[in-house]
Order: sequence, then C-alpha cells, then structure tokens
Amino acid sequence: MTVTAEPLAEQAVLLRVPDPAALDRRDVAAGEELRDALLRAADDDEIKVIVLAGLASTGSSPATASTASTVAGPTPPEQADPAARLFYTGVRGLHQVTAYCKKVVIAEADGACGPTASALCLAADFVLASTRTTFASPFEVAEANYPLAVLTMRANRAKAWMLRGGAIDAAAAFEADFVNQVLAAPDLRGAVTDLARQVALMPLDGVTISKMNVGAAFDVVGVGREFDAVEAALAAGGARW
Amino acid sequence: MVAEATGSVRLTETDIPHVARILIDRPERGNAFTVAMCRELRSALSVLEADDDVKVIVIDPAGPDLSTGLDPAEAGSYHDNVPGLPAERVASLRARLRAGGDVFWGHQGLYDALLNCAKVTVLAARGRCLDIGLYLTLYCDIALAEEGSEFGGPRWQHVGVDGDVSMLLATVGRKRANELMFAGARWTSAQALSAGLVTGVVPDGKGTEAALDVARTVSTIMRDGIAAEKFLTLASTEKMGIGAGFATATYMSAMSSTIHFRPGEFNFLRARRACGVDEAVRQAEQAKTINKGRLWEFSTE
Repeated sequence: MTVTAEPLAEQAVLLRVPDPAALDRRDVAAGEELRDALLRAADDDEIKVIVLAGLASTGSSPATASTASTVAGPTPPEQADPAARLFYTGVRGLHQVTAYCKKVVIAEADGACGPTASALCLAADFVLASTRTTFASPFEVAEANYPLAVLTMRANRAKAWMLRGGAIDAAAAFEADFVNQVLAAPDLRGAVTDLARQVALMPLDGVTISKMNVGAAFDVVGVGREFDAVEAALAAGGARW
Repeated sequence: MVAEATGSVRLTETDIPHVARILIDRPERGNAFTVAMCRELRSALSVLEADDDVKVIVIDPAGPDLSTGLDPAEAGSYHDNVPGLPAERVASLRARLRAGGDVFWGHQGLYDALLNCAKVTVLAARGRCLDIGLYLTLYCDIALAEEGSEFGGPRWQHVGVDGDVSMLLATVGRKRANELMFAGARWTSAQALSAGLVTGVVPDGKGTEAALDVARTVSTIMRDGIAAEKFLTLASTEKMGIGAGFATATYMSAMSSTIHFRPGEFNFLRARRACGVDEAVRQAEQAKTINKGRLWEFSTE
C-alpha cells in the first residue's frame, strides 16, 4: 500500500489510501504508512487541513448496510496480532494520531467503510460522505475509542452501536451526528475542498490553539485514558477482548 | 441594584411570582457586551441568587438580537487595566490571564456565575446569538430561540477557538461543534434545535412570552426541589469536566490575544489597528464567505 499525498487546496493536503481493506486486516505496514503520512502532514507548517480519502471500498455497486462490514474483509481482533493492533489503537497508533492531530482532519467517505475506516471517521474532525456510504461499526474490530464516540454521537447512540454492532448508512450517520454532510457522490470532492478552504482561512496559530483546546477537552472526558487502556490491555496480551 | 448602574444590563420586574427578569439593553449595538455589561450581568445573577424569593431568572434581550459578542471596541483592550498590575503598552500574560478569568472564565467571571447559578435560568434567544450570545445559550438551563435566530462564534475564524469547548462538545456533539469552531458556520434556530443547543423554537416576536411561560411553569416547583435539581446538575457538569474546560479557556483566551499571522492569512488584529473595528470585521466577513451555508446539508440524490 502506498499512501499518496497531493495538494487539494492552499494549505490543504489530501492523503489517499489505496487499499482500505489492508487497514481492516491490521496490516502493520499499511497502518504505519498512513500514520506516518499523517504525522508528516501534521508537522508541516504549510498545512492546516488534512483530508483522508479512499477510506471506503466502492466496488461495482453501492454496498448495502447489511453487507458493508464484510466488504472490507476485517480481521476479528481476537485473531489479530496484539502488536499489529497497537499500530492502530495504541497511544501512538493511527486512531490516536488522527484524533489528536495538530491540524484539522477531514474524512471523505464514499462507499462501504469497514470498521477501521469508521474508526478513522470517528477520530477525524469532520466527515463528509456520499449518499451511498455505509459505516461498519468501529467497535467491531477496531477497538474504537468509546469516550470519543460519546462525545461525537452522545452516549445512548454510541452505546447502542457498540453493543448492537452492524453498519449504518449515511442517512443514519448524519442523524447520529457522526457525519457532518451527506452529498451526491459527484459533489463530494467539491464540498470537501470548499470545507478545507474555509478551515484554512483560520490563522495557523489559531488552528494550533483550537486543536490544543479541543485536545484538552478530550482528556477531561477520558479520550486519552481510553487509548492508554487499550495500550495496556494489548501489552498484556489482548485481554481486553 | 444593577438597575441604577450606567451599563445596559438591568433587573426588571415580572408579574409572575418568583420569576425575575434580567434585561440586556443595548439594542442599537446588537447587544454587544462591554466589560461593564459582563460585570453587571454577573452582579445581577448574584443579587438574584441571594434572593430566596426568586426561583427562576429569565434573561431577555432588548431589541432584535441576543448579542453579537464582546464590543469590538473593547475586544483588544479589556486586559489593559487590570487592578494591581502595571499598565503596559503590551499587556503582560498575567494581565491577560487575570482579565480573561475575572471577566469571563474564572470564579468571578460571567460564565461561571451563569453555569453555576443556583436558580433556574431561562433564555429568550433571538436574532444574532454570536460569541457571548452563543455562550449565554450554552450555559442557561433552558434556551428558547425565535425562528429567525442564528448561532455561531464568528470571531473564532479570525483568532482561533479561545473559549470553553467542553460544554459545546458535550451539548451539540463533536462533529457539529467543529462546524462552529473551524468552519465559521452559523446555525439557524432549526439547526440549533436539532443539535440540542436550544430547548425549543418559537415564532419570531414570541421569545420573551415563551420564556416567561416556561418560567411560570418552573416557578411552581418547590424551592427545595429546584435547589436539589440544580445541585445535581452542577455536580454532573463538574464530573463532565466543564470546570476544567473553563480553566483551559482562561489560558487559551490569554494566548489567542498574542497570535501571529502568517503571510496570506487575514490579520484581524492588524486590520483593526489600521482601519478600525468595523472595517476589520467587514473585511474578515468578506474573507470567509466561501462555504457559508453549505454545512449541515443532506442530499437525497
């Protein structure tokens, strides 16, 4: 898998994931590659906005909610190597790097998002999705951060999704405040670009202050401690599952 | 009583037993708050909190707007004359911290007083509910919005999000909050209702009446019941870390007044110095019209 970085708009970069299924297989190289690309973009003083694209499997026809979680072929967590899972869910993992990113992260979702893609959408600051998009439960295999889900969708919805599992479609995700905007697929990239331009109008110092402010709020409600807990559980051999 | 003060926030009577009303009265300036008004509102809350006869406080704006925020004429200078600290050409960090705490986020500040008020607070929101108007909406117990209301924090786009975000995240959810914080979105009353920011939406011109109606209902609850419910609510907000959010906000608001603007970024602070507040605001608004109104959109394709 080779994550490509391409300019989207002034001070906005688009990171394209070529193989989203690799993320759900807990492919270490794929996870590392995306995480490192995110960190490089976050450390680039010329970038204020990072767009994650290619997270969903589009296939030949739109996926249905009932089949979405099987499209990406996720590996159940109990079958995955704990060390590999750390690359995704630990304190320096892909989800944590996305949630606490120093720059504003926009997830572009068009198709069937597997659990890891959904977890990345959860961690992103904004999610824009096409009408055909579905989101597998980020709790199924991705060990998503529950406090972050509560902060995003509110407790009752997050709890229901965690316990019930399954995929939700774009309309349900929008209703649950998991998604900011739902558009026809041909309009998606334009809307993402517009949003990136709008966010980039904020001074870089303002972006830094704002993201630190939000990160402090995360810590208060336990988002950081949840990453710590996952790390500790995986270090102990994955007893959390 | 605050009514005799020279500012534009004052207590007024209502004909409903146990219901007091605080009037924000600067309609010709969109009810933009001066620092004095912030202190007056805080004082009014203290006066009413100490009055055992009062169960409910209605906060009501005069004119068409709840508030457009801090008076731009004072936005860059409210930390210049902090008692006990030397007046310097550029305010020190401790002066900025003290001012932000004393006026807004600290234990003597407006928002702390509102969030932790022992009486039930009911807000009549109308027109522009921006910056301070948004925070009043967040921290009142019950907020009723007239249909034509709009909610947002437009200043954030110019300097960053330098206020409390904990309560905003907890109330409207993170993704929605980000629209206000990072994308300069202004929500309609319907969107504010959908997000949980306001309790209800009423027809234009009916906000005060609706707020007083709600206050009348709440005022039938026994005093001890109100005290117990408010105490439990406050205990919950503490457990949610809102108090810690206020501490962070004090720091962030001090830091945001020292930000640097890079080439190509709209320098709000320089524009204000060069051509005055009104022109700076106009230029800033012009620079951020790209995506206005596009968020919160659902296409049925």
